Parts: sequence; C-alpha cells; structure tokens
Amino acid sequence: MIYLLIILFVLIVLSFPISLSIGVATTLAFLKSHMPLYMIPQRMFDGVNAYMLLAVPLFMFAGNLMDQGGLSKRIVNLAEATVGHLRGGLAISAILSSMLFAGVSGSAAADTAAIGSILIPSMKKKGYNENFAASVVASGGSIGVIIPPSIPMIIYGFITGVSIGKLFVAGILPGILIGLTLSFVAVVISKKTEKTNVSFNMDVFTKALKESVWALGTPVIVVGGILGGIFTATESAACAVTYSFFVGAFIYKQLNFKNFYKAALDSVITSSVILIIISVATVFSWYLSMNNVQQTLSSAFSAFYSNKTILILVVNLFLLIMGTFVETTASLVLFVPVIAPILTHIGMNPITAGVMIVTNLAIGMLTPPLGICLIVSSSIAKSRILSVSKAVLPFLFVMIFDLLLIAFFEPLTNILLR
Amino acid sequence: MKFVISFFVYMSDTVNKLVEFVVVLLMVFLSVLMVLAVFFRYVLNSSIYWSDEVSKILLVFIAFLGSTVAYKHSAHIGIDVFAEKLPDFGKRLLNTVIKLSFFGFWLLVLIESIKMIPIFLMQKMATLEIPYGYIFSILPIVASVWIIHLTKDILVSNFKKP
Repeated sequence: MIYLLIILFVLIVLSFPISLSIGVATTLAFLKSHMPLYMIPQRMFDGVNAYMLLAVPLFMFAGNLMDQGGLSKRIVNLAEATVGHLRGGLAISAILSSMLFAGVSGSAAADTAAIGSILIPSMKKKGYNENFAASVVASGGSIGVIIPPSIPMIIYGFITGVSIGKLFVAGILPGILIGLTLSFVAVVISKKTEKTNVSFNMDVFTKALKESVWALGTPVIVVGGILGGIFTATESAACAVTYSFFVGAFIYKQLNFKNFYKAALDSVITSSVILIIISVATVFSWYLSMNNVQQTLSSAFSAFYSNKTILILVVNLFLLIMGTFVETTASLVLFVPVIAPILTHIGMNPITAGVMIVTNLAIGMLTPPLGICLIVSSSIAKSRILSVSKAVLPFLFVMIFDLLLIAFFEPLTNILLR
Repeated sequence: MKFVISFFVYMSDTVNKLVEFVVVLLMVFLSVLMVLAVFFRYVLNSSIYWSDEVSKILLVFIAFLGSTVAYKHSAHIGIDVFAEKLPDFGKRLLNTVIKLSFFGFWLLVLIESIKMIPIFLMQKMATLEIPYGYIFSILPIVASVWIIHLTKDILVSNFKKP
C-alpha cells in the first residue's frame, strides 16, 4: 500500500500526466497482489458510465459557446462599466466578471481563460504590472468552481451521494464572500501601483447593460433554475448550451460554423482530460477499497476524533498540501472517499464539508507546481509561473481565511438551504 | 525506417482528424438529446424513455475518444517543474519513458478489454436491449488509437534524423 503511494508520487514528480501516474501505479499494484487485470478496463468503463457526470462536458460546452459567441466579452464590458472607475478598476472588473462567468462555467480553468484572454491584455495596456494582472485573473478564476455550477462539486456529489443541487446552492454565498475579499485585496494592492481615472459614466453603463442582457441570461437560467429547483444540474447544463448557442448565433451573430466546431472540440478535450482521470482513479479507489485502505487511513485520522476543530484543521492542511501536487479531479476521487466519512463522523454537515473541500482544492489551483489557474493565466500574460505565483500570495492568504470561515461558520453554506 | 515513420505519421494524423470529427458530432448530439429530454419531460409531460441510456453511452464515447484527441493536443498535463531542470538528454529520455508507459498501459487495456467483450456481449442494456459488449468495444478501439499515436511519437522522437 505505502509502495503504491510512493510510486504514484514519484511518477507525478517526474512529470507523468496524472491519469498515467494513477494508471501505472494501479497496474503495478494489481500485478503485485495478483489481482485479475481484466478488472482494470471494466472499472475504467464503469467509472465514467454515470449519468451525473454528463454535466461535465455540457457545462464546458456552455462556457466555450459563451466565449466564442461573444457573450463573455459583453459580461466583461458590463463589469468594467460597473466597477471600472474604482481604484484598481480593471482588477475588480476581472473578479466581478469571473463571478458572473462562474455562473455558467463549472471549471476554474475555463473561467480563467475566458476572462484572462480579454482582460489581461487590456490591463497590460493600461499599465498594470503583468504579474499582478495574471494573479488577479487566476485567483478570480478559482471562484469558477465555488459559484454554481461547479464540476468539482458534481464530482463530490457523485462520490458521496450528496445532492448536487444542494451543493450548488451552498456554494453561492461562499463564492460571493471570496469575490468580495479578493476585490478588497486588489484595491489595497492597486492603491500604490495603479490608478484608473475613468469616472462612472451612466450612459456607458446603460449601454453595456443593454448589450449584455442576453449574455446575463445564461447565469440567470443556470443559477435560477437550480435555486428554484426547476432543473437538475445536468438539465440546466443542457439548457445553458442551447441558450448560449442561440444568443451567440442569432442575437450577437458571432457564432459561425468554424468557432462552433472549435467550441465543441475544446469542450471534449478539456472534459475528457477530467473524465479519464475519474476513469482510472475509479480503478485505483476500487483497489484501495478491496484492500481496506480507506479504513486504515480513517483509523489513522482517529487520533484526532476527540477534537473537531483540530481534525478539520488537519484535514484542510492535508488537502492543501495534496492540492498543490495532485490535480483537482484526482484529489477528489482519491481523497474524498476517505475524508468525507471522517468529517460526517465528527458531525460536520456533508454539504458544508463539500463546499469546504472544493474551496480548499480551489486554493490548490493557485499554487505551483500544478495550479491550473496559475498555468492558464501566466500563459496568457506571457509571464513566468514563478513570478505570478509570488504576486498571487496576498490573494492566497485571503482565500485561506475564507476557507476557515466556510469550515467553521456553517450558516455561510447552510442559510440558503433552509 | 523512413517509410515506417511516415506511415505512422500519416496514420496518426488521419485517425485523429476522423476522431475529432466524431467527438464533435457526439457532443452536439448529446446536447440536442439532453435538451429534447428536458423539453419532453417538462413541456410535453412524457419522456424519451431511451434518453438516459443513450446519453450515458455518448458520455463514455466522448470521454474515451476525447482522451486520444486530448493527447494529440498535449492536454494531459503533468508537473514539469522538476523535469525542466534535467539536461537535454535526460528530458528526452524521460519523455520516451513516459510515452512507453502510456504505450504499456493502453496495450494492457487493449488486451484485457478484448478478453472482456464476450462476457459483456451476453449482458443486455435495460431499456435499449443492446448487448453491453457493443458499447464496451469502444475501449479496445480507443486503446488502438492511443497505440497508433504513441508509436508515431516514439518513432519520431527517437529514430527520425533531423
């Protein structure tokens, strides 16, 4: 067992893709303990043959269609017209548009790419430091998995059986909290380096609002549909796809055959990377459960059972460390089966636990070496990952503070569910 | 050798173009099907009885076929912070080792999944009554596509003269 984890980490450090690392480690474990190898393809197949996971490619597709159809551009324009006149205006616009865009896209990487490709160039033009610009967009992008819809929450619900709709609703207030605190940091930092001296202009604002009304319909359908209990997550994803397709093709008229094809292909690529990890990780966790590893691990944590606070802190510390090395989906599939029962055992609400775990892993998206938001935004800004990760530090601290609030102040996740 | 390499380059690119086209079609079909399912359920108050099963089949196909496209677009990322520090020779060696491990893994999936097909052919899906084996056949197909791409990459990076 311990060899299995060592092999896994050595492979990850050696730059093996995460799905391959898990696949190779599992195969070696199967060979060592003489388990039947045909279980590997069979479990891989079962791992993705699940209705709940349908929402993953669909939300990706909706997000990409918004991007290609010019909907994201309008949302960014509206955000700029609303908060652009404040100190660090473009930085706050980036966070606000990330929050709005998060209402459609379930993925932090998609959120970062969509907002970053529009706002990082214009921030650079206005004289913002490129590392700061990239770090704002990266940290704003991480809200993408906290405000519904959220692919990590879908996976969490898939593993634990907790209602995905409830998880989504529970993510709303934490998402807003994170958005506000990140904007606060952006203002504080911008004070020294940046001034945006455009004043608030009512005409520009109404024009931007008028243009973006159709684009704003998508988050309204998704979040409203789920909040109102009209749609399941998968159904709202399908509706978001159709709606953004019609707006992009017939109202904004920016969607043609070529970028529609690109949107579909990109969605398949990004979601299959996630799904293939789920697929091989299912084999891995099947192996673990056949060997009672989960029980062993949870008894290792049992030393902390007497103190709820310390246990929650230990779990979070563990996930933060893992989150820096292991990709989000893999972390969820590998660790949630162990951690979720422990947290419920000590009396934590499974929904709060889900939001906490997803927020924790969202922080991992901002830390090198495998922070996906960091990778995406620094490649857009064409700056080095390490220099962006220094600029991201203040945002990181604030997010850890938010994480603790989410973990220890249950009303934040519960109040909308009552 | 030169002929073998250009054969695999051609195969890998052609197969990939075909697979890309197929996954886009599947993605569009999946979206349309899901919307129709919602429409039937809420507006017409009846349901497309086969939509759940078909959409799951589409998902499995998209996931596995998509993984080969993702490989062609270098989308399966890993941590390269430490590997970056290696000398050129080490980087190339590591790259080949990664490709070979991928190769080994998908070869295993190919062999073992072919063994499973006769068993799955005996099971029928609940509503569609199609044997599961047909759907499961996607795994050996995808494994073969992976093997073509990997063979091409291993050949090109190790035997192609610059």
